[in-house]
Amino acid sequence: MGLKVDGAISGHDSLARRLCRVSPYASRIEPLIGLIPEIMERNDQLRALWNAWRQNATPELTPRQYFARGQIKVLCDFVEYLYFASDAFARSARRP
Amino acid sequence: MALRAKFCVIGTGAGGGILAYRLAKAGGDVLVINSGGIPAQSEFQNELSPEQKGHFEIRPHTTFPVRPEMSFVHPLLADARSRSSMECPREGGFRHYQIHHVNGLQNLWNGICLRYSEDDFANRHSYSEDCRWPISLGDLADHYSEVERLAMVVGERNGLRQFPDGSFLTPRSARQIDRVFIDSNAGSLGPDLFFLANRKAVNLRPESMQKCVACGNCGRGCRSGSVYKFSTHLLPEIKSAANFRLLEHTRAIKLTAADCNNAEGFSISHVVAIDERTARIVEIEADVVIVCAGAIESPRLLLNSFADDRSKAEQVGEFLQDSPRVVLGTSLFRLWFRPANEDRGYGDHILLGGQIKDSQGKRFPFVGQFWSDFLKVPYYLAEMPRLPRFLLETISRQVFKTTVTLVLYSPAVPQRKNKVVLADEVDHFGQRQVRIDYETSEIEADHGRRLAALARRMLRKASGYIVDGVGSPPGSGIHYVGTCRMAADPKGGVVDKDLKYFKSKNLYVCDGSVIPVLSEKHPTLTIMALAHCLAERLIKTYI
Repeated sequence: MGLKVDGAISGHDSLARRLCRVSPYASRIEPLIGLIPEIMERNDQLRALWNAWRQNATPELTPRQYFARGQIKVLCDFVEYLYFASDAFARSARRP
Repeated sequence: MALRAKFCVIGTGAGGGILAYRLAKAGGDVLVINSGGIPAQSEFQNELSPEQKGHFEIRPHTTFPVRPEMSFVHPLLADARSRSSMECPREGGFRHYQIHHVNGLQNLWNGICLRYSEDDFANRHSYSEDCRWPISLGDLADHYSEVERLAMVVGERNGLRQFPDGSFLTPRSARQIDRVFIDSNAGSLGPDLFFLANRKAVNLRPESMQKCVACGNCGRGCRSGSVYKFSTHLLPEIKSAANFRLLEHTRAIKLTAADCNNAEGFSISHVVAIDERTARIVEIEADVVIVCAGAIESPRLLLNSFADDRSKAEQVGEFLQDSPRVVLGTSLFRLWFRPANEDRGYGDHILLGGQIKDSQGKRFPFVGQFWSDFLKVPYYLAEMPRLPRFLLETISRQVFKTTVTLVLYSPAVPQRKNKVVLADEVDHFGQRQVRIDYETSEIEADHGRRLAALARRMLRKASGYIVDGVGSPPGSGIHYVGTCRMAADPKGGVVDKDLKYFKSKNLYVCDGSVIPVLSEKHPTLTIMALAHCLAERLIKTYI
């Protein structure tokens, strides 16, 4: 599949992790990284971004170098959404 | 394929579900056609499946940043264009919310069970002389009680004229967030405003921790939003009976009329249906045909069936009504930084009701639901200006704990020009779709402005200072009624007070379409009571 394997982590996870770094919320969704490829594949708007990144990412390339500003905005919104929709956020919000 | 049955029931919504249940329980030979399928057991489990949990409601069509309205749209609704009853609505036009795929329209029901009052049946709040109830509350009182017991309605006996009491189970108590709203507003409109425990049909009791993910409200499942549904509540009791048959994924496309010159009216000799998965045609011969497909689909079936002889479908489709409503959301600042109550749950535990004056000084009734909302934080964030991260998170946590939505409904104004008519477009199966002509009346718009001002004032009193109005386009009330309205005589409607089609000997209609005047109240319990009443009558006559 032309994936760039990063140590013991699967290629997809590694790619997803690097992609999410466009957002300051990346570290908050760390437990969800494994789900990101599937979620992006299922979504009409995110699928193109994921496929482009999957096929063209190199170790030196960052998402901010590769994607246009509008696409980076979409990715940031996606990562931010994931954090605020996650159980981790809900638990922290419910805490007294 | 040809089938024969004593009773053919088309649809398993509020009307069809009750009818099928009662007729089957009484030993009648019942065949039910349902355009959806029975929800899988996996949809009613205690926890969300990994797949449901993993996708965080991100659908194929979700766009980023996500919009608040996305929280409402069920994925099946976004996929129903070619399967829809109606042609693509014009911008701002009537939007028909429907789910054909999963257990009919009832999946969109939130479970509110309110009896119509004596004033409603006496047409005291009616705005049209053409639409009048031909029956009284007394005719339905016993049937209301029966369906309240069947659907397990929670509530308190409040002795209110606007909301007649019924047979209730103990409701859940008001939560901290409800108390703040009630205490802030109690007495603000004098005796014309009152709060009461929600009257809601539940298939979920505190001792039964079953979660539902198929009510159509949130798609996630919750403890307080779960509601009674035919498929989960009544169907299991009858589905293995020898005298009951259910054709899933099957849609009625035509009623075949016979004996057309009979003075008593024509007969329906066959129901022609299509299997939606195989496109196979099914012909059903029945002694009694009861159309329960809803206020859009029922007139569509009748208009398609009698397209060659319009005299058989006079007045069908006219006087379509939907509940005018206003929807406002906010965060109650008074609860910010207070310890959260873990057990507060989501959903609507309280109702409010009363009367206010319109711009002409005439009083009109309203009913409201107060929601402690579903998780909408990501949606609200999409609307927020860019904020420093630490601030955004702090605000988001407080919004999460304190978000509420207030929905207020007013009575509909029946208008002949609001109607369902056959369109030229056809659906996935080659059946003509319908076009919906619908205009909000000036009276309804005036009521809406008054209610919006009232809702804003009430939320502000409860410390909701930043109030967000959510648009309610035509059709979004999802209380469709009137298109086969019942009447005392054929000049005044489509079915008689016994729900028999005036022009036919063996055709009945029993769904929202027979309700002649939509009051401010949710119509589903009334549809269920009408269905129960009709079932008892059919049992006496035919079984």
